[in-house]
Amino acid sequence: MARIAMTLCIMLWLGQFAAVSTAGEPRLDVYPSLIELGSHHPRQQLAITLTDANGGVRDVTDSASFHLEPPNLAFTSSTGVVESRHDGTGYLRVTYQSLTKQVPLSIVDSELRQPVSFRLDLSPLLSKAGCNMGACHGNINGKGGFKLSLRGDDPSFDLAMITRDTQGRRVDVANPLQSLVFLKPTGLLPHEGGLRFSPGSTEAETLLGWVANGSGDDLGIAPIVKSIDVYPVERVLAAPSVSQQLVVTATFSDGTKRDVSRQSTYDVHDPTKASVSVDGRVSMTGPGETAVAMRYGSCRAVSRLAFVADRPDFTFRQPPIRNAIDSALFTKLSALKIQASPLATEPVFLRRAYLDAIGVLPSVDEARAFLANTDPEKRTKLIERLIARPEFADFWALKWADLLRNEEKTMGEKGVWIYQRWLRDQISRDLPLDEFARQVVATVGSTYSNPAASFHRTNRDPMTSAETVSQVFLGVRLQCARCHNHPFDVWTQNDYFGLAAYFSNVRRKQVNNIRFDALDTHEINGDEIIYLSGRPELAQPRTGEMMAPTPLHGPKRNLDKSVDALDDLANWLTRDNPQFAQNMANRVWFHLLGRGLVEPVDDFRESNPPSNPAILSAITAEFVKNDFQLKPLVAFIMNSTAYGLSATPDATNANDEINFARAAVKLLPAEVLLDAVAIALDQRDNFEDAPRVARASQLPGARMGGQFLKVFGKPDRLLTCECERSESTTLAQAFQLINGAAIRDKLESKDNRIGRLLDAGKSDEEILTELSLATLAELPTSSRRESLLGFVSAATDRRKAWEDVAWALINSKEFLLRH
Amino acid sequence: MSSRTVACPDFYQDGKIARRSLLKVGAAGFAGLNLPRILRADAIGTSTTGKAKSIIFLHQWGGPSHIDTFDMKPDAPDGIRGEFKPISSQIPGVMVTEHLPNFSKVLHQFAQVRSVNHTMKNHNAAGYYSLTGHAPPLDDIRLRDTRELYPGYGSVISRFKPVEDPAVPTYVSYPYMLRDGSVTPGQTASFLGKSNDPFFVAQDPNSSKFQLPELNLPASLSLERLDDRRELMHLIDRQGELIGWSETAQGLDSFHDKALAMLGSPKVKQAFDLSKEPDVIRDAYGRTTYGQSCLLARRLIETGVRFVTVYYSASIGGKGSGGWDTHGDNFNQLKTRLLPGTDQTIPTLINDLKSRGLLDETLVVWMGEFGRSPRVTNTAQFGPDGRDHWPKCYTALFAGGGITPGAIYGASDRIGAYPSLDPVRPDDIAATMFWALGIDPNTEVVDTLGRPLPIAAGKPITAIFS
Repeated sequence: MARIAMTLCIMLWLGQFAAVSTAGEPRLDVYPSLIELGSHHPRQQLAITLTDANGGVRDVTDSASFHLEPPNLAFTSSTGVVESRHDGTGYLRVTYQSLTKQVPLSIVDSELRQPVSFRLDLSPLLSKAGCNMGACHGNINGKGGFKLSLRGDDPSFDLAMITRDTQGRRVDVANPLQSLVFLKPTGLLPHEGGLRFSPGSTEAETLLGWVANGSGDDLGIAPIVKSIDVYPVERVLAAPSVSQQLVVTATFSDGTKRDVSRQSTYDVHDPTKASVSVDGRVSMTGPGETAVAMRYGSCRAVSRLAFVADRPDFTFRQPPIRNAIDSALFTKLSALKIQASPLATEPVFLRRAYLDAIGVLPSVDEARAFLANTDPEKRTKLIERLIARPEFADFWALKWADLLRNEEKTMGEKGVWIYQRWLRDQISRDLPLDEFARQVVATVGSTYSNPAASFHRTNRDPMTSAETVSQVFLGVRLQCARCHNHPFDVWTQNDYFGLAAYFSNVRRKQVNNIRFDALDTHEINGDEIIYLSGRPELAQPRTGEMMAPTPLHGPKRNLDKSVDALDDLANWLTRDNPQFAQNMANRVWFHLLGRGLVEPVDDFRESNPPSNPAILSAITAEFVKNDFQLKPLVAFIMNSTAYGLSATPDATNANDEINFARAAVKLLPAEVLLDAVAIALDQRDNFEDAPRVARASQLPGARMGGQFLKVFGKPDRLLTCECERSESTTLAQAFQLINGAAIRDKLESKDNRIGRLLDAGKSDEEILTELSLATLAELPTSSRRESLLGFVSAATDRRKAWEDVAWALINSKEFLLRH
Repeated sequence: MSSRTVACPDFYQDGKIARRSLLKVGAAGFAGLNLPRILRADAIGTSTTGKAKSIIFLHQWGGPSHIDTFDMKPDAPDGIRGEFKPISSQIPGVMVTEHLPNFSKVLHQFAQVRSVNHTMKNHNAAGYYSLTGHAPPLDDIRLRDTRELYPGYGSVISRFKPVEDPAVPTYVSYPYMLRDGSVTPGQTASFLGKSNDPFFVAQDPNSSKFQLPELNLPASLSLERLDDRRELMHLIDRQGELIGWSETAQGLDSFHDKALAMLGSPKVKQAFDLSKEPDVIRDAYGRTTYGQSCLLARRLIETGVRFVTVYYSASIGGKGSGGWDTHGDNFNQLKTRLLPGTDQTIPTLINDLKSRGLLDETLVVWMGEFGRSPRVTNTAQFGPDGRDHWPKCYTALFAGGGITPGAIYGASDRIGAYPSLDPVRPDDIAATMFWALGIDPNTEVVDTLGRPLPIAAGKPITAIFS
């Protein structure tokens, strides 16, 4: 449950924003507030913080000056490092402009430097200098004949490779300067990996010291690192600062602590925006937010920093707060000095709500009625009506069908219909999603009679099943841990195979399977019976250990023979597992707002924190409160002011992509777009492979619906990833829109909306109004009316002219995009 | 204030950081761009670069036998050398099979790489490797075409060196989608996004009905009417505000404009209109799918297309149809079915490119996903005179685009089983193609898992270029 504790920690992040605006006397703070150096801890990185009169916080470590009393007690550097020189006590005075701060300093055992430790110094150095990265010696095949464990997972292996491999040529204890491990990374011998540190650096000194001491191991002697802590864990920094000194402190098994800022390895989420120096100084290219992850030994920590833009005259325009989402959103925006875009106009909101909630356009009558309605509560009432409509179930079942991979090859032609109907029925009756997950994971039997068992039909081996459960229901990508411990996360191969073991006794029996391709065991076209047989256990391939079913980070379960492993998994997954609820809430948010609070939605990890933890916490709480039901959560999110903001950028939010200060602009999903054209022109599609289906979003299979859907990114459902549904725009799409049959046939059909209006003897004015409502859910603006009516009246063929106008409306960006 | 080594400068050289931003491409990944790759790029020191303007990639699906074609072993024992005799070419000492007599007259225009090798024995895995230059994660027939796998060469080129003329696509591929059971990965843009997908044409250029519906307006839609519609669309867009600031809207608009430009410009449409070509030339290429496909490749290159992939066949083949997968009856299949067509079409393409002055700027690459086993097999399944899959050593051919004509790079051992000199991986061939077009093979892309990956993991075979 460490993961859960972690995610709860993230939620405290909001507290920082509140602290920003406390005014008072300017103040200087030194971290740590007490400096104690000893033989194992001769060096301390400082971080100096200025709090100005407005409560704005800045890091001034590199512009402060340092004075010691007595002066020869220690060495200090301009970058804020204190190193022991003589034993004694005194104090360090830090000065920044007119402010000073004094901290006590005590030094013992300054003559008694600890020898360089392989475990505590050298092994972290290999990570720090990048020697053991996947692209270098950490590669599965090593590089240049020298292999290290990936990211230092296995120090004992690394030691053997350095000291024993190639007859020990890599270290020369008698003459350390002739050691290959020194000559290569310092560039004294040609090194394909280039210069990693200079021959005179601290790193080289450490390395040479270790070799000279006999290049031995100190396993069992050196204390074991238990945890690392970073200062600051989170901080909002006032303009104009774009940097922050980090201080990383390791706690060891013997209770000692040590500054490891120099030894830790840093990673940033977006290296184009932020970088970290070897000493742990974070620099941003401009205002914005970043998470910095650090590793020392097997421990990790994350620091989350937000640098506020320089907007001295900024006053936040407070939009109305309709629920907890809004207070969380606007608190953060105002702290970051970013305005929210104004509320979307009525037609834009109306169209957006229909498209996001039920995947269809409002009808002409619905649009007309909504626009004419003066009820102040009409948006809320609209949302209530939408979530009760049958199209809601079609549309959200489609999303689940993508994720659970309802596709013809594995599910069979008949199977896709059965599974789709089951998914749709559960959404329609709003089965709580924890119960839904339980059924998906733990159902066995015939996939025709018990469609929920289809999970084990589409996920055909324990590893794939474990990855899918983790990705879909927890939002965690385990894939890396299949072959090695996860490089960016806490997951180990034991975690991976412990989870996979849950599925190791799932068996499948096919009924009357006649394959088109005899070699493809994933092609199944009859019923398949899922059943359990034998003990669930699985061998971990690296250690050979038999793994019993074990939840991620959970204790080993002693499963009674009478307990189904799959039931146990479902219990762990859905009962008191905050990550399950959080992940589900984040996915729903993603579908409605166009971007996850954690993004990508299936990549929850400490080093990828939510952009607004308070919103995630608010929607998760609402979801749990409503017994894990989807519909109330959809309504809760859609009723927030946050959901109803305009997409039009403001000068302060134009460059911000992560904080939901404005609505997302996205190409309509394939099925929704095809259905929108059908509704706009009042001509339904006839799907050859599903003649009784009226709308594309009701199609059960991945192959159904023809070329148009494929070109617009309908997924093949071969991946358990929301990312498989392509949102990109392409040339082939443009050809489809310009002269593809799917649109052309509807446009030219005699009895389409245009034909019907002309036959009814409607005026051009009336026709334009209806076309405008049918496509854009709005009444035509006067300029549009003037130009379009002008075009039609000048045309020789009135019907063709209206076809051209309808084509142009359908090809307009306002029609093609959700905004 | 005193200081010692504690204030030493960063151990990363400053000069390298600027290179980050130059090479950094694609979505932001967690680890982002890591340093060693950049340093490695420097270490390789690809200061010079190729001068080709376009590439015709002739992919030989199924895996052609190298021993029976370009890397003959007349002195090898029975059961290995096969039944074909070598004939000489215009390069002293360089021989080719007797069943490629026309080819022998243009072989001196080619550079041969005789030491290509890898370990993938399945068609889909090896095919993916040969189409992308990246080793697949597993050697299995079920290797699936997913967005986690690498894009094809043309998509990478579309991403990093697109054609400037809006009416001309960068990457065109045809006439099949390769598959062995399931679709072979490596034929699309994968994680580079659909905007870099090939302009893929699933039609037979040798068919009398060969035409592109996309490029042909229906009778009801004249160019003038299309112009009217475009005007109306732009008018409506300008009256709205999305087009002013939304990158998504602007992206859609640019594709609309590109498609409209292609519809409005006769260039690409004419390139696809093979009836414009004199019969004598069409006949010279051969009235076969492959012959007319290669002719189409020349026409597309002339139009300005940068990368054309011609797939040799839809299926790996076997007796009677399709590609080079000659597990049984290898010699008959080669001499009656596979080699005669190759012998007609490829020399014609080379001569045609040369006579038009296009060969110097067009790199032609001919290769399969693997070679075939030195040992002639006799199996219950396929019968006698077969050759099995053999990825451990085979030959790739390069012509034009600045290569040194007649160059031979690498060598196989005395039975064509393993490289004996300068082994080359598909990774190196990928790097060679990118390098030839002036694209740094160390350029990075970021995949769906956020991993920064070089577009080619190998080194360009600069030795075959002059």
